[in-house]
Amino acid sequence: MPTISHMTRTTTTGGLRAARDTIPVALSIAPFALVVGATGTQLGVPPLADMAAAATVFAGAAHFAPLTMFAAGAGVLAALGAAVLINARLLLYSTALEPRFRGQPRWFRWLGPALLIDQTYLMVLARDDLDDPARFRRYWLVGGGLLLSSWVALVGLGGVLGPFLPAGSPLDAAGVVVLAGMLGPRLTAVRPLLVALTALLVATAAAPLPGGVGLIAGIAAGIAAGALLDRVPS
Amino acid sequence: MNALAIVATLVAAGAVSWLLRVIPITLLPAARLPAPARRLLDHAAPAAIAAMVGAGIAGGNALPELAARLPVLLGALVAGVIAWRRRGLVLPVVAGLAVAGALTAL
Repeated sequence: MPTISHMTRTTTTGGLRAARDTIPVALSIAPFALVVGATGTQLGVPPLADMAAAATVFAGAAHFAPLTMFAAGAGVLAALGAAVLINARLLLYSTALEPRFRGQPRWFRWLGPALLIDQTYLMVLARDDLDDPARFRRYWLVGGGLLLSSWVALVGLGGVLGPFLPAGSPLDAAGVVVLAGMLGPRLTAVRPLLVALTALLVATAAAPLPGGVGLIAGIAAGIAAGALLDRVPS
Repeated sequence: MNALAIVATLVAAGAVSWLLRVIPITLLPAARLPAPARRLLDHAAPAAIAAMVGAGIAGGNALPELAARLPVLLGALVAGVIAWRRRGLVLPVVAGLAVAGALTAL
């Protein structure tokens, strides 16, 4: 049976490790959060409302996509569809992490997954000392909680600073650059590279289509290319 | 589109995202997803992000008018290549923005 001092030490080190792991990750998402906040303000969304949305969505690309699509004149369904497609990968992440949640309290099994994003998934994968359910829970709540609060605060900061940016600030370039930075590390093999290339080319060519149809066409083309490639023996 | 509709859409996206996060853990535990569905999901993220990059580069312009978007295109290319070579988002974003900004100023 673990002693109280052992349990305290486990809790403390789990929390400290999570905090230490989270700081560089929080710094890396800062530019994107600022761009998301500033873009929301440009569309007339008050910073506090955008912060509430940031806490609810808690996924940069899925938050940013509807904003850019609304800016391009898209409808609600197209914008929502893009966000859902972008976040479909969360099904994979939560499937992979299900064993970690299996022995956890019910409240954690329902609320804990709200902190699941690319970064928390990768942070957990990178650690081999989270077999103890309590330690995993502590690590997840501290790391994910810090990341969520950083994200929400930075989106709010971007929203407040947005109106003070000089006219002609390349916000659209900033958004594209951030997305390209997120895409780069995913292209580690030929298959995702071809999927991305197909989606990019189709979305670029179809950009003048109204209502965000070009974006949806690009996503669909990329997924279709992936499905075709899956039929080819590697 | 008014601000209320935008926020409502984002909150709806958040609700669906929470379902995507919680279903394999609480409602339909792991490994029951058919393999073909998993593979399709695997393609969804790079396809979605790449399509957003493409749409952002075009900025609503038709292909013959893309010359004006060269700074955005090259900024995105620089950011993508640096991020591919080394993990992290800060350096790729700063370098990409520097290239896009410099080319816009020229």
